[in-house]
Amino acid sequence: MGSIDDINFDRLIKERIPFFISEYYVLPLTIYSAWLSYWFSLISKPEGNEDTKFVYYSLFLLQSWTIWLGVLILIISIVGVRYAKKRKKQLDIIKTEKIELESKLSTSEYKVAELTDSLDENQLELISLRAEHQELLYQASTNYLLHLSNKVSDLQDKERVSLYLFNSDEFILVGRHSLHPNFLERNRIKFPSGEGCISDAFLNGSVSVSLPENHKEYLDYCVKHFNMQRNLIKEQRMKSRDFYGEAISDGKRRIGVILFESQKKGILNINELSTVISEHTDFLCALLEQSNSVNSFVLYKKEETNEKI
Amino acid sequence: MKKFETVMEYLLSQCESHRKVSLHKLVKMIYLADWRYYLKTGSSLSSLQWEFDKLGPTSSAAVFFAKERNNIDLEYSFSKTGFTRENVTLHNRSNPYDVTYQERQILDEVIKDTFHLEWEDFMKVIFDTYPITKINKYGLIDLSKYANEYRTKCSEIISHQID
Repeated sequence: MGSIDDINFDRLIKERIPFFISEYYVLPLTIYSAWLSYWFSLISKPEGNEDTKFVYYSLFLLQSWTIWLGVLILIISIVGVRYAKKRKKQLDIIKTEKIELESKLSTSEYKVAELTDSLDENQLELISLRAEHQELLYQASTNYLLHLSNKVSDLQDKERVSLYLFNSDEFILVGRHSLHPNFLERNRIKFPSGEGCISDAFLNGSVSVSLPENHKEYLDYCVKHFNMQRNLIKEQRMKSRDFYGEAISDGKRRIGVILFESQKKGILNINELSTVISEHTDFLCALLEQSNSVNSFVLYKKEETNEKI
Repeated sequence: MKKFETVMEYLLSQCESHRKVSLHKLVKMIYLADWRYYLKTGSSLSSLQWEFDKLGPTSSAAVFFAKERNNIDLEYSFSKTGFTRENVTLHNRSNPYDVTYQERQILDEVIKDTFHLEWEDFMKVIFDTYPITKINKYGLIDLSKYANEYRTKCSEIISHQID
């Protein structure tokens, strides 16, 4: 048996008593209406014995609409209160679930932000690693061009060999070798597709050209035949006189150009260069394809640009 | 406070506080704001000297400032592969910033356009700017020159279309 201490007075006062009152408040009204019916019946008190009176009162009570209305309201009240209690319980459950879900949502949002940050950091790392890979690949291509140039006789300080990757409307420098440190350096890293003998080699499959020794004639030739701007020619570190270039194809399409150049005339042996290139086409092709997969100008080029003119 | 310091702090203050902002991204966002400001006004927003390297435009002054500034916290961490991660946060986000309505408009636009982008898409936005499509050397980027060139070409196209 529970003692008086076990009774939850707070719940009793706040829940049980109001609930009981709301459920049974109609009961006194019903009793009152029954009493009223009885009182009205007394006004027209029938004559006769006690049995007849009892039957009369009973019938009067049963026929009185107030008592039936009271009973009906009592039933509706009990059903209504019970239903309301059930709904309140459901509402409480929904409220608790809502609070739990809100807390779960805020936890999930926090986790999403954390994961997005982590993704962001990993993507940045990937981009940085690609840039490092691009540089390492440039060095690898340069070493391969050194290996290639060793197979060709007479390539010295005044000569240079470069590998260019074709990317929609430009050529990107992806490897370069020269014994001369100045000529080895990267000045321009990309070239417009309609300019210079790189473009000629790419469009015609190969190019072999010898430029005039005279500087003015040289400039005029470059402007006229190679579609180059004078100020860009002046900026060039290496003003070569002889060029030999070939387009590199992957079997389906041309993907780049290898270009030999010399400041001295008559140094480049076209037959020898052509043989060496054809022997190494597969390797050059592989280098170009790898460069294509990591080069930032290729990777971050939009299909449809907003700003390019 | 120099203008680029204000710009950097304003950008940081407008980024979502619960998100990390990498120093690389912040610097590139300033570049984008600077370029858009050049196009609108013909002058520089940050007065920073921009350089082009393998990861796109960067500014050593902006990086240096982010590392030195008291109001900016630089958090270093290392990835599993040993890559150094540099994230920046702002100490006091409620500082008033001395930015004009036009500057604020451009900076807010840059945040709206790029902050939620993944790195690949973000880099595409950066590499799609006129100076980067035209640049052919690693080194300094003359934004003023490119902005003039871009505007001239745009007006040439418009006048050609009108004709």
